[in-house]
Amino acid sequence: MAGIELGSVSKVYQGGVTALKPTTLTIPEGGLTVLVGPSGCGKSTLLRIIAGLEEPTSGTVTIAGRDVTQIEPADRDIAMVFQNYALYPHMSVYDNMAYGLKNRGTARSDIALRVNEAAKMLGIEALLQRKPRALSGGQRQRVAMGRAIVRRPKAFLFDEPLSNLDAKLRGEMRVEIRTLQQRLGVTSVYVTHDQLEAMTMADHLVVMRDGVIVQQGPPGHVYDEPDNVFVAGFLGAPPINLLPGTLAEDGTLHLDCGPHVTLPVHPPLQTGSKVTLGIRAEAIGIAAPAGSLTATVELIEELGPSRLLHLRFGTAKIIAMAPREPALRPGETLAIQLDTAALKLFDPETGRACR
Amino acid sequence: MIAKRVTFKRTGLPLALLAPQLAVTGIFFLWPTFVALKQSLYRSDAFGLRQVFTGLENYRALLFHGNYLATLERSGFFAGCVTVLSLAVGLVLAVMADSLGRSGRIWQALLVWPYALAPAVAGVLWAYMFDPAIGPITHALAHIGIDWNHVLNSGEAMTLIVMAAAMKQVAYNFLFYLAALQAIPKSLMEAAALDAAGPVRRLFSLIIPLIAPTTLFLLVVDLTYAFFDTFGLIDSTTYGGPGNSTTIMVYQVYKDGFIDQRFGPAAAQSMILLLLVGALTMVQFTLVERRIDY
Ligand SMILES: Nc1ncnc2c1ncn2[C@@H]1O[C@H](COP(=O)(O)OP(=O)(O)O)[C@@H](O)[C@H]1O
Ligand SMILES: [Mg+2]
Repeated sequence: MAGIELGSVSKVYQGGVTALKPTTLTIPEGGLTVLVGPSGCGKSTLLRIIAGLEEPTSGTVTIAGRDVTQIEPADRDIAMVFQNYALYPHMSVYDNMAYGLKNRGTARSDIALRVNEAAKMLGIEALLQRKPRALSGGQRQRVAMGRAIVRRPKAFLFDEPLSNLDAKLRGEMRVEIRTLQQRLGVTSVYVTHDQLEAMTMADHLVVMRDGVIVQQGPPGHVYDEPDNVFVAGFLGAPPINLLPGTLAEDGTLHLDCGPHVTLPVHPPLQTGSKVTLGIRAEAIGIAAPAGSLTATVELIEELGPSRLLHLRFGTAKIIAMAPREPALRPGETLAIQLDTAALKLFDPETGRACR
Repeated sequence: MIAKRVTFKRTGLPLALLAPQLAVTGIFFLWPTFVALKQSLYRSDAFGLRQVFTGLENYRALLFHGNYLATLERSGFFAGCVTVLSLAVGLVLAVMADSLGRSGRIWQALLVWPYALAPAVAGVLWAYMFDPAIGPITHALAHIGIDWNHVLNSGEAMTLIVMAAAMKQVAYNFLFYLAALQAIPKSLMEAAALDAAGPVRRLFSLIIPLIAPTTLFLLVVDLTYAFFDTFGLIDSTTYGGPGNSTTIMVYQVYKDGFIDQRFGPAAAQSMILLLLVGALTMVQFTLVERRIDY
């Protein structure tokens, strides 16, 4: 109840773009909720509506039990970290962090205390007198977070805060933000288009597409039990293998690419139904007790601890994640085994999971 | 990548291409400047028949006798007022147009008009609007108890030319300020909104510091305009009067040289103006080079 509640919030921009269809969402208190989805799906719009930077076309926003729909951004008791950091270029790091407190009439000594505390937490004490232009990307990112922390708000909002950093720094900052958020225990909403960031950081994962929430839940659950083919395909790298087929009388699935797959339980579908089989790379085993399924190795990508096998399976191409042993060569044909518990079936018409 | 620089094999073509520009510069700028410089070192009679070399006497006379110092002071006051007024009004209008978003474009177009008006035409219009006998604004002012007569009242004359001169620069400043405002990232203003900075505080603690480079640039442009480009305006409104009250440096040159035929002092004043414009241009070039960036 004390988190953030969105009551059928929608947004139609001037010019008629519907960025968000009526959406109801409860963001749990104290956790990190990640909004993930492809570019243009309305994540930022949703976040900006929470911040009050965008007025919803309809619906209500409640933060910590208080209806803030009609309240100015400054009075919503939230802090936001922007993608481009939005640091004030002419102010020192200290002044950047102190600005919001000064404007709210916080006592000087209190400001100094809070800024120094936040700087220490973020390891930027030595940079307090510098201007933003004299900082690296990662340091600017920390300052932007410091500016949010000193406010001690009811909620943190992050809009793709790591997308301007290089891959290595992104990995580090991901952990840092997560650690900090857990330590402070402040309700946080984090927007990203990066499924890895979403999976690794979220307590609660919200997947969006075309202005609609398509699925939400703990990241592991959403990954294991995707409600539809879009979510299945969006989460996970390499992406899930999707193979269309037809359900046969004996309960096996006749794939369009050739092979027949035995399903563990008969799905609640009529014989002859078209169905799409989803199987993740890690659910494909090789060199298993000689099964009836075979595939030919086309390409091997070494990842270090494991490797990706690009296989030709009938006439289709699939990707399997396999251990480094045994040695394999392109052109080799091997027996493969599908982890039957991990097979997903989707309705090819609607994309919905068949359970 | 295509090089921006074109390399010529021989020097003939580039020289031919440069020739017209060099000719214009030589005939209309360098030669008159040289003549004026020479003139400023001589004393000549009213008919230009006899000339006596007097060295820096003309300059000494200007700086230590007569009313030239008063003219300098008046010019400084005029230029300062025009610059401050046109910067302030230009900024306020730009902030307002910027906050309107797209519908601000109409105002943008309207506000640029004054800049397209020739100074003499603008001057005639101002003189008419404020004409002591028939000016519509004069009549309106009379209704609220102000007896406007810039032909007799020197303060009112100065006010008139300051307003008329500023009006034109407002259009110019407005355009540059609007461009500068639109270059400020939107997220910066949003961050400020979340940081509880209201519109006025945002203007003073963020916008004005952020557009300081533009202000510096416009400051030089406006000063240059007020000092050197306002002859036409004054010559079509107050003719430097009443008395000398609106005679600024450029107008004084004209009065001394063309009306009173005192060529030596007029030439010396031209040289002083040249130094001033040179200095302002130097400042402007350094500013553009340095482009104070954050
Ligand atoms: N200010 C705006 N005016 C008009 N359309 C907008 C505006 N902001 C975003 N949109 C549109 O709304 C949709 C959702 O945008 P956004 O919420 O920014 O997506 P995301 O953050 O998921 O990439 C997009 O189609 C985008 O073009
Ligand atoms: Mg976005």
